[in-house]
Amino acid sequence: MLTYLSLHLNKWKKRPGLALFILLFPLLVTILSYPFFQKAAEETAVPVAIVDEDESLYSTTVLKRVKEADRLRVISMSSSEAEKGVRKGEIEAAFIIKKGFQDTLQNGEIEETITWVRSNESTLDVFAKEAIGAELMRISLNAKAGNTLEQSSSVSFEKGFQYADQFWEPDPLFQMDFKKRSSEALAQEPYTLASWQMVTIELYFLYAWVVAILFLKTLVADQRTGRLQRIMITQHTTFSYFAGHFLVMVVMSLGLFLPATIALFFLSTAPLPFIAEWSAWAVVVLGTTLVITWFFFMGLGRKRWTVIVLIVLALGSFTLTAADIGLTLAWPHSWLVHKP
Amino acid sequence: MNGFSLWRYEMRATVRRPAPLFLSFFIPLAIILIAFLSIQSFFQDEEKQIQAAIVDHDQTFETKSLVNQLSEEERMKRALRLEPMTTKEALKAFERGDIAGIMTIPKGFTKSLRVGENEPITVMTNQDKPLDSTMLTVLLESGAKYISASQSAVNAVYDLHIKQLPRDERNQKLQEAIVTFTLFALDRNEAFEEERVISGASVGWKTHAIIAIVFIFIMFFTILYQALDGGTDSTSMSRRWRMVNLTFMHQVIVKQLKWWLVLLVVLEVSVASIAFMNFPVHYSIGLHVGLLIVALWLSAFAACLYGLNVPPSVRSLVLVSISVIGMISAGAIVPEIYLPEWLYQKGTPFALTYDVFRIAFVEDSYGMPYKGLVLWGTAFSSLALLVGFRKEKRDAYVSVFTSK
Repeated sequence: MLTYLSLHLNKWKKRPGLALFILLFPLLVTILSYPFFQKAAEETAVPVAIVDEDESLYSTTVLKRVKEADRLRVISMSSSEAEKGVRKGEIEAAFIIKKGFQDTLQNGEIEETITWVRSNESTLDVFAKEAIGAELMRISLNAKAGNTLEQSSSVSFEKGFQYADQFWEPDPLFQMDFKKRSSEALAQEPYTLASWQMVTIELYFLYAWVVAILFLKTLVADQRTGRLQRIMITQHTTFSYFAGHFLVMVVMSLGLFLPATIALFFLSTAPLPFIAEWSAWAVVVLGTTLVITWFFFMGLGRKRWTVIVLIVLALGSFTLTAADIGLTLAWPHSWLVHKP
Repeated sequence: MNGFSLWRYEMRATVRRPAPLFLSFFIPLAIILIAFLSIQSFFQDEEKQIQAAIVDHDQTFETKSLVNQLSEEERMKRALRLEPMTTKEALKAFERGDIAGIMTIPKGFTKSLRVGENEPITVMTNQDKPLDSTMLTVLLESGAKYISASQSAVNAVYDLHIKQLPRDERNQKLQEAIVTFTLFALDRNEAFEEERVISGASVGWKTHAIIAIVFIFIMFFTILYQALDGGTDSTSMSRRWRMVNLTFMHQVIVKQLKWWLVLLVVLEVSVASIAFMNFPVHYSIGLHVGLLIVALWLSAFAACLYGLNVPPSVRSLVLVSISVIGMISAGAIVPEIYLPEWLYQKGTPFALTYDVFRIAFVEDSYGMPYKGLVLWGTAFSSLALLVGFRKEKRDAYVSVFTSK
């Protein structure tokens, strides 16, 4: 069996660059692309314009606070520039804080104080509207409290306004503590992978599986060129030949999949028990998949077309699992994702 | 004349062994169809109301008005259904997977809110329903800001005025304040006066999705086809070609020409299929010229890697890596306006290809990307020739200069 292992090793040694590239590709992709994708995901935002026609204390406060909101890229510009930007599709929407904004809010009113310029194609600007609306309501309700107090007591508008506003510091009054739980484990908060991380792991699995399938072509070539017959004549058995090849396939496939997956977990700062649990499960699923692949290939007579069928199956497994349209239970990628 | 023989040999091989072309076309098509079905089911699911439970241990006027404030707002009402339940009922529904989350208001919540303590309400979201639980989080976070605003106003009026009133008046005044400020917060949409403008150049999500699908399909096809069709001739075959003065460089040229032709046909078929599905496609000479040049740079890019004589597997991995980064930076996955400035590169062939697809779907398209694409195509073609020539110069018995 070791003869076959060293045989393959020597074959790979002839073209070390190619072997190393194929082996290290998923790991290299993870290490090199993770910071790129993370930075890109963090900085992706909805671009909106805010036009401050009032230039009052209230309007500048709204503008300043909205600029700090996550996932929004707020650009200050003139109303004509903003409208042009929406028309050209350079910004998602524009919000024009009308003249008299502060006076209206101080009177305890809010009606049509902001013009929301959007196009038929604007979609994500509703998040900007929510953020602006929240800041507007903070100021307008402070003002409304100030007005109520001024009218019904001896407290001044300014004092009432400031008193209401102090409830926002250091944190807003009403807060929600979100806890993620699974239907099966209510007691503890599970560490969960983001959907892009899950798809990346599925891609690594696909890569390891496809490389293992392509490795099976060596068996087809050995049969076609007569090497297998020669082995049969000299050794009287092909057990070591097949067992050796199976072992090489499993080791190679695990070597492709596991380092890249573990690197991704470490870069995502996943806890160690989670990494260990996931890695063990992945080894079981990949091992089972390779055993099925091997018997499928052997059972169908080690033909070239079975390699193509297996690659199509692997691609189908990945696509159907990632698409999640119901036909998932029969596929190895689905076993990987639905860890018990 | 000899060059034509090589071309005829390539084309005959394509016809006699159609598997590479067939697989390169139908595998991406099947994957894209499945992805399309998935996206369609995702949007169908999105239209359903999200179910969540609310467990109120405090049961005061304030907490009831708070629930009312969360569930009565127009947008919330459309997307979310908050069902009052006991702890036991809520946990059972959560375990069955019927609800996306449980919102629990603890006992003494109103009292702590009144004195300005920031005691949070616990919301347990269901990880097994990722989309619903994300939506629930977004909706409740948005609602929390408005509740904070109205509650701050209620607290200010209570502390500075109502507290000093006689005991019998206090409760009634407090309830009045709660109702006034809560209703005011519910009317927040009145602050916005909506104005719609016609967007001439904007693509929109639907058109962008179509462009993204076509773009991904074309890239997927190119990668698969060059891998399956890009095997190099055996040594004996190469020697025979050399005998008629056809070198590896000629093979690179013929491969590129063939891939150019095949890609052009696939591009035209893709656009025609979209038109066939009743999507508005603006056919013009400009579009056909654009598709021709897109096919040129893509075939030249693949031929360049072919000329380097690297194995098809490595070629494919390099192409996949470059294509993923190229398509992201071109705004083909997430539209360019959302990308950070450093990421969006409008001069790349990927961004220029996206512009060509825009011509098909947007009448009022700004700028023609031909010049840039022709430059990229010529550069890649020249590079493909150069690497093919270098290999021939290194390996061949017959120099390219001495061959006729």
